[in-house]
Amino acid sequence: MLIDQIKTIINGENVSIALFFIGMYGLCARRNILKTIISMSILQASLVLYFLSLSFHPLNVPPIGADLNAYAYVADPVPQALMITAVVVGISVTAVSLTMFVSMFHKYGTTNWNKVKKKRGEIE
Amino acid sequence: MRRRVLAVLMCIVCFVVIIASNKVPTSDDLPIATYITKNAFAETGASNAVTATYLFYRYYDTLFEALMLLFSIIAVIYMSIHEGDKYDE
Amino acid sequence: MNDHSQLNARTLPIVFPMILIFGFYVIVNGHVSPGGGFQGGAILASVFIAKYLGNPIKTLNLYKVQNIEKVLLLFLFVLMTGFVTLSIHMILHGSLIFYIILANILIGLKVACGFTIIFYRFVFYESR
Repeated sequence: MLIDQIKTIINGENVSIALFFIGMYGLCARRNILKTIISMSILQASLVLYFLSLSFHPLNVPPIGADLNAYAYVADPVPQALMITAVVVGISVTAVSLTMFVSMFHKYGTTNWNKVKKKRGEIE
Repeated sequence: MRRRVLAVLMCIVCFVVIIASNKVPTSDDLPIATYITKNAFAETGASNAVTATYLFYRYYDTLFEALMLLFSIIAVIYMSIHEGDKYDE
Repeated sequence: MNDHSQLNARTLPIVFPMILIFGFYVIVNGHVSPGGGFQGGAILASVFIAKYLGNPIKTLNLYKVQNIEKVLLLFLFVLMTGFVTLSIHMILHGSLIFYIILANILIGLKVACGFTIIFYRFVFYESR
């Protein structure tokens, strides 16, 4: 009884919302720059999971074939086509932020946001 | 330490609120998906509906995503220039 | 990565043609099977990563690769905007396979060039 209820709670959308807040926690409470970048990647993965699990049905067939009208449940091709774009955008964002981090590390020699700010003279 | 506890609490509160308010069912009729899965093979000739979507129905998306990849590569090259490199121009 | 292993250097060149063939298969068959330009481009870019693991060259001219990528993007713009805004797709209604295959090939080569540039840039400039 309880196990069935828990199984209905754990679906793609709830897991993606949980992942989103895990990434949000990493962005809020961590001072490491690398962990910030990893948290941004986790946020992006949760978005992809949410969009793909929005129109999920257990009887879905993949949208490939000449006569898709024969099937009653076909997977939605629009979020899949949009999420290809989102994956490549996430890869490029991660690459650019890692490059900025490496040049910042060569300049200041630390991976902490506050130490970087202190060395820049923005805070005391 | 106090900051971390506050962040954990905020995240848990937001998670619970969103999970509890997620009761509105999404509509079962998907007009765009139905149109694409019905007409993709007849209009484009590609039997993969995802390819037909991102190359025909949503082609600006693909086009400007390719442009964004080029911009990010320009940013990677520009930001990783150190002085005295012999591989630079 | 100056002292690369001999095992990698001897065995990885056997895998190159298979990765190339698989990448081009994924790109060209993008309209009838799962796959397409982005995925096949990522597979093609893995060829260069394997090449670096086997034989760590230091003198690849990245500006040439970037110029190739810019030219491919220009071709993609001309193809897509010209083909769809001039309403040739209304004339050739129902037989857009050549347009889709050509766009897939252009996107795949462009994405392969881009990921190659990102990888080699990280290797050349950040690993010191």
